[in-house]
Amino acid sequence: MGSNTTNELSPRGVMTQSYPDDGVLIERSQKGDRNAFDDLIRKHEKRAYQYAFRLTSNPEEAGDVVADAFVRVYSALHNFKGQSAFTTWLYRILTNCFLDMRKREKSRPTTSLEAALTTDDGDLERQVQDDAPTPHAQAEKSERERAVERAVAHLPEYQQAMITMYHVENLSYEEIAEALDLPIGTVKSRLNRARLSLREILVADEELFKLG
Amino acid sequence: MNLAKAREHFSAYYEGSLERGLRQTFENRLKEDAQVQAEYRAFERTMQSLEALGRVEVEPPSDLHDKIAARLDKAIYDQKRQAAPVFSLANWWKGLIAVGVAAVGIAVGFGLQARHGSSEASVLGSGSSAPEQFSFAARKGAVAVSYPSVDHQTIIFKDATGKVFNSIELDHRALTDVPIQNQGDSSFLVSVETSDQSSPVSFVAVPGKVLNTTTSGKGTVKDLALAIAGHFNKPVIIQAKDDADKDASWDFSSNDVVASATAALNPLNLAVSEETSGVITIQKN
Repeated sequence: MGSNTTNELSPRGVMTQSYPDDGVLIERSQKGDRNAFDDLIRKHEKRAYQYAFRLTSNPEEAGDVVADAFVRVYSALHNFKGQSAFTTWLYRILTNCFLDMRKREKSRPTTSLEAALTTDDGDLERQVQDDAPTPHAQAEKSERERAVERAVAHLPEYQQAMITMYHVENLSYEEIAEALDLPIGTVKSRLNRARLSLREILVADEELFKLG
Repeated sequence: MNLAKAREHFSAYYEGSLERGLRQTFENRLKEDAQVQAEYRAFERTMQSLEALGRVEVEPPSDLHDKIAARLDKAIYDQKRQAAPVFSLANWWKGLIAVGVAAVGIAVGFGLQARHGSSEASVLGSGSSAPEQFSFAARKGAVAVSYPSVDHQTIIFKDATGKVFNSIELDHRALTDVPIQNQGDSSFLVSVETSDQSSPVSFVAVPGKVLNTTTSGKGTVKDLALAIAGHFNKPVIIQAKDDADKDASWDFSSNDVVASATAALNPLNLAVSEETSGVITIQKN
């Protein structure tokens, strides 16, 4: 492994701070160098967050997914032999963390939003977090983009992850296949199914669609 | 080619990767079947919309890195706690092993020595102006702790979380060479204090069975003590309780334990020395 530093290219082509190669950072981290692991996190956290946010549409949950993912990376780092790119491995872990989070949510008992919280000081009104995008973020998106995002959010989690990897993170079919440990043919057919499902949702949302 | 089959090829046709024969068949169907045509047009619009996704970058929250670091620290801490131990103690004074436990991490042996004569007891008791201090010595695979006072009080051993895992009632006996043995792989931190808090608390980092090859890191002074114990296989005593949670960063690449620890602790006004007893002591300058 070399000791070169590289400029990390974000998914949208913006150059960011220089860090050593992933291979160098991983090797040092595997020897217990926490600073190297910290650099590995800094190098990839932004991209990881972009992906997690696309999946969750919630900043808090996205942060949790990313934090959980790096803990898993740390725990499993000694098993990482470099057969695939670190980023591909990270996508796999992020996806699993996201799927696990949704699984946990589904198994958790729910509470009515109308239910008041009772404390020693009496009843409190429940504060509901507004996960809707900020007006600023909204303004940057067309109605069609918002409709597509809503539609993606309605897909099964696994399809959401695939659509996001391919269409937002610009991963190739090969990279998705590696990240999800699936044959390329399966990735292609599942992505096709996900797109067909999206099409159905969007057609049902035809009125909004026409605004684009 | 029926409708369902045609749908299977939408993506490949859109991306131009459909092989020649299939493409021809698909195009024929597209031309002839209004429903396939309508569905494919909608599919095209979906693909165009998907291509526009992600143009706007989402700015991560400013505390994202801290959140990750905190989650990681907690996971590492939990991992260490799991790897370390339920405790057992060996009462070598009576030649007994007490507190039956399956998994063993730290064993504290008891060595109590009765003092003979009341005059000596009163000299060493709490009547003296300077507080008594614990003393430590490296023993093979263990750290031996001694405490000279024979006052009726209890010596308390706590783990890194502050949980008491052992205590020894002095009952007019001085504590002599009580071995603290770490049977886990990683170094382990123990605090030793008196029940009446008359003596300063000491933290003891006891080396584990496996050497840690990590040469640099950052954390608290306690973390540094653990790192030294793990890397150099030497017990480390922190005699500066108030500074134990302060931040430090270290680099052991020089392979000189005192020099590298001194470099790490100088900014905190803490001194490091290697005692003839074989322990590394961290104390205020």
